[in-house]
Amino acid sequence: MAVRAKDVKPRTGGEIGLKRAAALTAVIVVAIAVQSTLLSEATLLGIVPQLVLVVVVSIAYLEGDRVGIVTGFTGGLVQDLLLPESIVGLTALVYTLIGYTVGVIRQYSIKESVWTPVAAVAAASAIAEIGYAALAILLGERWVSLIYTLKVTGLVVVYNTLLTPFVFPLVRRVADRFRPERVYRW
Amino acid sequence: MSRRRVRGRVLLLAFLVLCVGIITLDFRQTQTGPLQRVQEFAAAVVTPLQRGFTVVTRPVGNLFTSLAELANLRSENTRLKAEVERLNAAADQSDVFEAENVTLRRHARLRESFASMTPVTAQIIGNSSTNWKEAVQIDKGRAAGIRPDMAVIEPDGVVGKIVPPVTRTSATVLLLTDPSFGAAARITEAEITGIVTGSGSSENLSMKLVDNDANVSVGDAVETSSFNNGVFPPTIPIGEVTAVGEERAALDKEVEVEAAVNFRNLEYVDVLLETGPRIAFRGGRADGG
Repeated sequence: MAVRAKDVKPRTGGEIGLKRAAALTAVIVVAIAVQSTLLSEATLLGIVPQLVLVVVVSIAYLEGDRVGIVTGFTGGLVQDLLLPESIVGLTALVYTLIGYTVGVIRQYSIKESVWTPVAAVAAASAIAEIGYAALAILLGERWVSLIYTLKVTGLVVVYNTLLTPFVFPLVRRVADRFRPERVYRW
Repeated sequence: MSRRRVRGRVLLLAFLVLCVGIITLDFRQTQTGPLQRVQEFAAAVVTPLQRGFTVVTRPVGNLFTSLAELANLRSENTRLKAEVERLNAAADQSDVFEAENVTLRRHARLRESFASMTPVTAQIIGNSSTNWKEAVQIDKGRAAGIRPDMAVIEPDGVVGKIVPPVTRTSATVLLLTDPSFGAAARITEAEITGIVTGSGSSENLSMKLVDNDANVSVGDAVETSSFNNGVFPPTIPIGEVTAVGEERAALDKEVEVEAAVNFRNLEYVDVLLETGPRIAFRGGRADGG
């Protein structure tokens, strides 16, 4: 790279700051509570939208792969822990991979567009639901049927995509509000 | 740049290993493993928030209209308008309370219908946050005597059973509609028993019969049986047969059952603190009038 590496310090995981980490954790916990109360009442044909996934993708898109990994792991794990009789760690695994992938891919999006996060959420939702179903079947949950998986995936993609224009700006505002003071050298 | 990428990959690998470790731990743990503790902790953090959101979404009108600006006649007008609105809201609210009263009276009658114990009536404060699990959170827990594997019913019939995590003040109910749920059931008209299982959100239940030659017809009532040392006391309504499957050679006969309970409108449930086939349940349905 032509820019002198010493002057432009890339933002790394260590620089995220305690306050900011706390704020983003709070966002995830609130998202889980909202998803299991308000949104689970306001279903689309009986299907609950995955607000936590939208938040994970938003944060990974804004903050990069490493924050994406940690966020995905945390969001997925808390969701797993609150579900009874489920395979703990499965959602965490899927969301960790998604957080990383979104964080890496965002570097290749050439220009800033409002549609990029929306497209990222749509793709991530499809991969997350199909991935979860596939892993659940591999781990012995025999009841998961193809038709139900397709129904869940289709509706979650639609619902999550519709939520993104509202959720993404909110997450960005929280992230910006708690951005650590940095020294800019020109 | 490239070193950053490598560090990202190392971090990813570390977390993936961690996930696989947790999954392994989950598969190996018994009823009271270390994950159980973590689960209870997570529930303890999230349930107060759920309680808050549940209060917000309940149809309680905002009665605290501002009475602060009464300085002049113009605001007098505003005040009177607000008063009218408030009274209207109060009238609406009395309807809500009346409906709630009816619901709670039905639960009280249900409680009286058990000879040997008093069930605990609990309010639902949260639903399953995923589409792969049918479950709800309730606002009573260990402090009220609730433990895993207790039966959960409501005046219309079977709701589900208590599963971990159970905290001091909250518990989780796995619903009858969850595909991993199985309950011993009986169709009295056809004198046959079987297992009722859920098939996911807003779908009908299915019942596997033990006998292929059974003479089951649409409309037959399905209720819990004292088949084995199951969770439920006998003769609690589960639902009604809506379709009888085609008989396939060498396969168990399966019938479709519509649940007696409307899971979409559940607000209160009753937890049976003693469970098993020996509990006396006086008289069929506890609703009516």
